[in-house]
Amino acid sequence: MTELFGIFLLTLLVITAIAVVRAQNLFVAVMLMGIASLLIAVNFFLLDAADVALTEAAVGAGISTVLFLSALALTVDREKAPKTKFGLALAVTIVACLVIFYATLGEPRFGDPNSPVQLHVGPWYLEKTPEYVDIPNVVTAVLGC
Amino acid sequence: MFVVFTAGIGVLFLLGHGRVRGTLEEETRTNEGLRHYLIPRVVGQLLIPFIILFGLYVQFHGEYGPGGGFQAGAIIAAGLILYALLEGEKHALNVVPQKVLLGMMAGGAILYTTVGIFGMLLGGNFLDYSVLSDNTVKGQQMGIILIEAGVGITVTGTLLAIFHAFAARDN
Repeated sequence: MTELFGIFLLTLLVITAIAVVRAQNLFVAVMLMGIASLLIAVNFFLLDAADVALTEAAVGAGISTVLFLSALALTVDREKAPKTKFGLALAVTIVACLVIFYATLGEPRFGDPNSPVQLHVGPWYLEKTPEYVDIPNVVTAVLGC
Repeated sequence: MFVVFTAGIGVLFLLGHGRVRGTLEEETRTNEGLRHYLIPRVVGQLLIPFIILFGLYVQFHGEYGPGGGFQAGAIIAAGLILYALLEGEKHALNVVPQKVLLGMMAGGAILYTTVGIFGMLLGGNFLDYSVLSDNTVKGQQMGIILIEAGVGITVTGTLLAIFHAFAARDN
């Protein structure tokens, strides 16, 4: 069920990202970017990364939207029509996407208990944080110490 | 945190701050914010105390729940920016003047660095909190609370200063 919801949110994220690129009105684009930030924040939360989710919601949806709006107040709110063709840019993007897709094939399966993420320093942090620092939030301990 | 601090300094260099603006009437006209829009104002004024309270909660509850200085600073700055949007930039600068903002930017970074150097003076490494107290675990907790406070202060000050630097160019 959680995976299904995550896929739903990621689909919405892709749609929002395409809408950001296609939006001619920059105000609309800024608002859509805020929505994209909120969607990815919910996704982080579904993956149990509460700290990252909170940061994304506070910075991505909150501060950066406001900063974009105040930058927008200094300029016009309509995008100029692009002068150049973007065929080359499109080709580069597609090739880069394919390379990234190919790279993900070498990654361990999602949630694999034998992946390096689970076996490297992670267990040490989880084990030693109560002993050395004695606070419940391991992320704060790792970042702070 | 020093990334944000440096970014704030860069923006202030580029956009300048405290620049002399037009006549007084012009200034009041451009700085009214959303004062004529009743509903956003009323709802915003209801929300701002809770946003700032939530920011303080994230700051001081960072050891138990998600969050910490950076997120708390961003949330508190967002609350104060909402105030600036509703009441106009001038009112917001009356609440937290530019000098206080610059003091917060530098003060938080100095607090962070002081804690680090204090650990060195007591015989540890830079940012080694274990030597801050007789009990190493207590020392670690003290160090975390102090540097998180420093991070929160700097992030709040920097984000507000960046916002004001943009808003001051309203022309």
